[in-house]
This record gives sequence, structure tokens and C-alpha cells, in this order.
Amino acid sequence: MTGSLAAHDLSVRYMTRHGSVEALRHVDLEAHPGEVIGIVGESGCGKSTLVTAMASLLPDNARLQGSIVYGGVDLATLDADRRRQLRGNEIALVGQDPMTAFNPVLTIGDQLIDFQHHRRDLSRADKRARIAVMLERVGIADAGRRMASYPHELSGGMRQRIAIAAALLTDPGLLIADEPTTALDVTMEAQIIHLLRELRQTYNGIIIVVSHHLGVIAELCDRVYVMYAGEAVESGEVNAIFHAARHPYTQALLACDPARFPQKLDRLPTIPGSLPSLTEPVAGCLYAARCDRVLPQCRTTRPPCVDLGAGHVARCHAVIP
Amino acid sequence: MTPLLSIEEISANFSRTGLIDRLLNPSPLPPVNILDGVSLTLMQGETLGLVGESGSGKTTLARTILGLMPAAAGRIVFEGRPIVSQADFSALRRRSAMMFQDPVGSLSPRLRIGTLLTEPLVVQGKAPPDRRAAAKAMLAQVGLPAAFVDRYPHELSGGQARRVGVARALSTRPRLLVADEPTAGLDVSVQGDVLNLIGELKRELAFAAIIITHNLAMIRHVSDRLAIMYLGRLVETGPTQAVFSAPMHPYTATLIESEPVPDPRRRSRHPAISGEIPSVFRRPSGCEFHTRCPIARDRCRREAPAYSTMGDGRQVRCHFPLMPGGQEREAFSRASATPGERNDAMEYRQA
Repeated sequence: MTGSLAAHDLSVRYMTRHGSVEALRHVDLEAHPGEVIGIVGESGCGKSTLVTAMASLLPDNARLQGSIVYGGVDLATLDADRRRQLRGNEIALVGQDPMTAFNPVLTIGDQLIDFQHHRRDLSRADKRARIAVMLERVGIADAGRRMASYPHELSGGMRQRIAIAAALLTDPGLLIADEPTTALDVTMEAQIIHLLRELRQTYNGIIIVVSHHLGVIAELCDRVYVMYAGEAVESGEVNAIFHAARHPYTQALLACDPARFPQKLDRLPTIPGSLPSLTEPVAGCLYAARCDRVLPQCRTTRPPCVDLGAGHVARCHAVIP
Repeated sequence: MTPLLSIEEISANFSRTGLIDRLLNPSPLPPVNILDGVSLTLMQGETLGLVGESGSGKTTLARTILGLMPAAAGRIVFEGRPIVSQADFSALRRRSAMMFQDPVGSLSPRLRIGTLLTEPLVVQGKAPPDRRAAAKAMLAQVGLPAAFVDRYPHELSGGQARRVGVARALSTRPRLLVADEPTAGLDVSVQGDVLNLIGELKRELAFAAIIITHNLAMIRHVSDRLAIMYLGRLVETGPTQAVFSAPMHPYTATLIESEPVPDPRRRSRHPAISGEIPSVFRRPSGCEFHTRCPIARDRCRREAPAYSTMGDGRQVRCHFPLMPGGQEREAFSRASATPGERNDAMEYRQA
């Protein structure tokens, strides 16, 4: 099954001893089969909470408001049993750390067979055959030997390839890659980016890539959501975000990336100030305290979503369509 | 001008020395050399970027320079004096500082920031009369509020902890700062902050720095010279701008090409390099990079290249360096653009 994904007015609060933390505020997100969606932002921006909510893996102290509709089903109101089935069959997650994605005491082959437990129609031999095909698809030669290996016998790059293979074995309609290259060297990163790009030629579900690395997002995604302090402040086509960003935060974030400057800089650009507290409610715009284009209403009123055409949206008072 | 630090032909080995290992393996394995013939000089006030993939020996080299790991061979000269005995290394360490990778993890979780900041001075017998005031002055120097003296490391963000690490490393006014991945795990806006701070303090206090990193986009802006390592050997050194604009070693060139560009209009079509860094337990024959090199030839598989000086302060370990306008450079750009040749290299690696 491949369906569209739509989060509408999605908010997540964590109840802690120190009060409630607003991790996600009124996020709207849309993704259609065949698309690669990027979610980019710095630590504390809520990108992990957003993907955990989409994978229905939020911890018990999380309070969710709004809806996440996938293939016509609202994940937020689903009972635990149905949700678990959906996770196994439809939604797959590739984590950041390929070291901890696997059980260290079982061979890769055994674990990849277990990933297919919902396929009751297949015999063990059929499952092994599927694994061999899938390992080849993610660029691992000598599949037979790899299936007999334990996770510690493989390098980080190879483990990440196998984690992607494991996710694809379940034929998911939604593949979420949470910082898939952060733990890897730059040469491995380039190879994994290339692999994901090749896979999308044959994969017809949704891919969501979460990263703090602007380069990875630019290399992979069709559409991008930029997050700040739990809010999606700007979204649009990848070219619009990287070449015609309108929100002051997106502009500042892009300007900070040293990879954009081929000539040596004496001072690297930064964003002065720090994230607003997530425990206290903010009246106006969350970015107002650090913004260089702040207006009087930014401190009092929550900015509206300004539609800039072609799916490009910025949540800012200073942006005029 | 005499260099601040010069190391000549440094080698280091890992050998199994534990009791259990010796009992289990009565016939010991030959030692594995993880650094091999590394020579470098660092001038006063210079910043050197030490770059390579994980497993290339960057951290081991830094630890060997500071005497935290014994060298099997080679010579270290610091401020004109050869460093031989443990006492020499202690003297070297008093004049230098090391910042370790994890900003929060390298601060003791049970000590307050004020205590942590003045600890190096106390250890060196230079305890200030008023430790609290000294700590507050250090916090001011790195742009943190004085109230932080009573905080614990877990109450700080990664960027703040890194600033404390900078203040602590510089508290003894070292001549040499060794920073191991100073911005790993920091957000891009905070990364700039920390590097600007180190740059400012460097101008003020005039120390030399070795920055170990695999972040090419960052090191390009903060280093004067680059040294690129592969499997425990230097493969290229030279002035940063020159190396970035015309890398001579194919490995350097592939590293630069692998870096994802934050511009969707300039997407890379093929990964610049296939395969992974080989293990030091099974070093390839000849040139160690030949298993992944897009322009490797027969000679590379047989014969190890020498580390040759190329002029303009550049050195490169390659039989066929990429000279501007040369045929190797052309072959390299061709090989990194056609997937066919890449597969050949891949097949070779697996054979």
C-alpha cells in the first residue's frame, strides 16, 4: 500500500517534572508517494519529535494534538495493536547510529529474516532469497557471507546499507531516515546519499530525510521543511528553500554553512542569541529575539503562514507575498 | 625562524600487551603499525588542520606528539629541544593543551565549572590566590556569564561546554593547542561561534594549534596549512587554500568532491569514491590508496610512492600526482564522472 501522509496542526508536549515542554507546535506537513521530503533544523527544533510522532513511537509522557493521517488512517487515534501492525508493514525507520540498529548477538541474516515476520506466506528459504536480492540492491556484494556475519564484523557504512535494506524488506509505504549519514565519514556519506538516490528510482513510497546537514538535504530532497523551536517556519521546493528563502531564520541558517564559501573567511557567520525556552509559552514569533528584521507585532502576535506560491510557505510577519 | 614543533619520521605500534592476551596467544602477533613515518612541522602561531577518515590515525598522532602514547620510532623537537624522556614530555605537556572530542564528556560530571576551569593551574602548582575570581575572569574571556562558576557540566549545552573546554585548555597559556574534533556534534551556527572564539583568542594569545577534524567545509576557513592522513601516513600537506583549489593526491581530491554541497542545482552525479578505508591489519601492497583510487595503475599496486616535495610548501605521496593541466587530473575528472570505471575499481577491491 502506498498512501499520502498529512500532518495537520500537529503539536506534541512532553510532560516532565519541570513542567510541560512544547516540542512541536502546530506543524502542517504533507508528503505524497514518490516524494523525498527533507526536514532540516538545529538541535532542539523538534525534528526528532516530528519523525517519532510519524512513526508512532512517542514515549508515554508525550501528549499529541492534531492529526497525522497516513493512507486515510489517523495514526493519532489508532489503538496500540493496529499501530504496531502499521509500523511493521507500512512505516520503516532508519536510525542515525548503525551500530545500535542491530542486535549484537544475532547474525545479520537471522535479523533480516525476523524483519519479515509479517510475511507469513514466505518460507525461510524465500526470505533468504529476498534478503540476497535486497543486499545486492543496496550495494553489498557477497550477500551469503554477509548474512552469516555479526554486526560488529561490519564497518559503519556497511551496517547503514544493511539498515536501509532491512527497512526496505518490509515494503514500507513510508521510509523515514533520521540523520542517516551523521555517524559516517564524508566518503561513506557520499555513498549513502548516492544509494538513497538510486533507490528512489525503483521505490514508490514516501521517503522522509531528517538532517541538520544542509548539504545532505540539498543533495537528496524534492521538498524541504525548515524547523525552528518546534515550528515549521518555512517549507517549499528544494530550489526555493536554498535559492529564494524568505524566512529570516532560513536565510541565517543557510548563511552560517561554511560549505557555501569557497574563499577563506576570517570570521564564520553565526546566529546570535539562543533558542527560546520550550517550557514557557511565547506570545509572538519564536524567532523574534534573534531576528534582524523584527517588527512590533512579532513580539505580540503569532505570525501567519504566508503563501508565496508553488507550495512555498513562510511563517513570518516580515514576508510579503 | 625555528618551528615550534617538528616531528620527524614518527611511527607508532599497537601490540598486545595485556596479561590475558599473552596467556591466550603465547606466540604473539606481529605489532600493527598505526602511524608510519609521519613528519610535520608547526610554526609559532600557525594553525594546522589534520584531516582524514576515521581510522586514519589523526587522534593517535596527536596523542603520540603529547606523549600520551609511546612512539616506536622517530624524533620530536619542541621549542628547539628534543623530547626524549618522560620528563621532557611532562615539560611539553605543561606548555601545551589538548581538547578532547566530547565537549561535555571531557568535563568531570561531579565538579563545578569554577573548579574545572582552575584545575589545570592547581595541578601545575600555579593556583591563583582567588580561584573563584580567576574562574569568573576565564568565563568572561569566552563570553559566558559569571554565574556559570557554580553550575555542573550537565547543566550546559554542547556549545557552552565547548566554550568552557576552550577556557580551561587556555588557562595555562599554552604555546600549542591540540583540538580533537572541536566542533563535532555542534550545530552549524554554534560551530561558527566556537571557531570564531578560538580564532580571537589565538590572535590575542598567539599560540599554535593543531585541529583534528573530518569536516572539510569548516577546516578550510580556520587553518593555514592542511595535512591529510590515510592509514597512518601523511599523503598530502600544503597551504590550505592551495590544497583546496588544486589537490594533488587523488585521496584529497576525492575527499573534497565527496563533501555534500548545500546547493540543489549542483548535485553530485556519482560518489567520488567507492569502497571503505582498509584495515591497518591488512595494509594493501604498494600505494595503500590504490584499492580505492580512480586512477591507479600497475605501478601503484607494486611500489609504494615516496613522500615528495612539490614546491610552494607542498608535499604529496603519489606516483601520479594531479598537476594542474596534467593528464592525471584529466583522468581523475573523467573517472569521477563515469560510473563504468568506478565499477572496475570496485571489482578490483573485492578481488
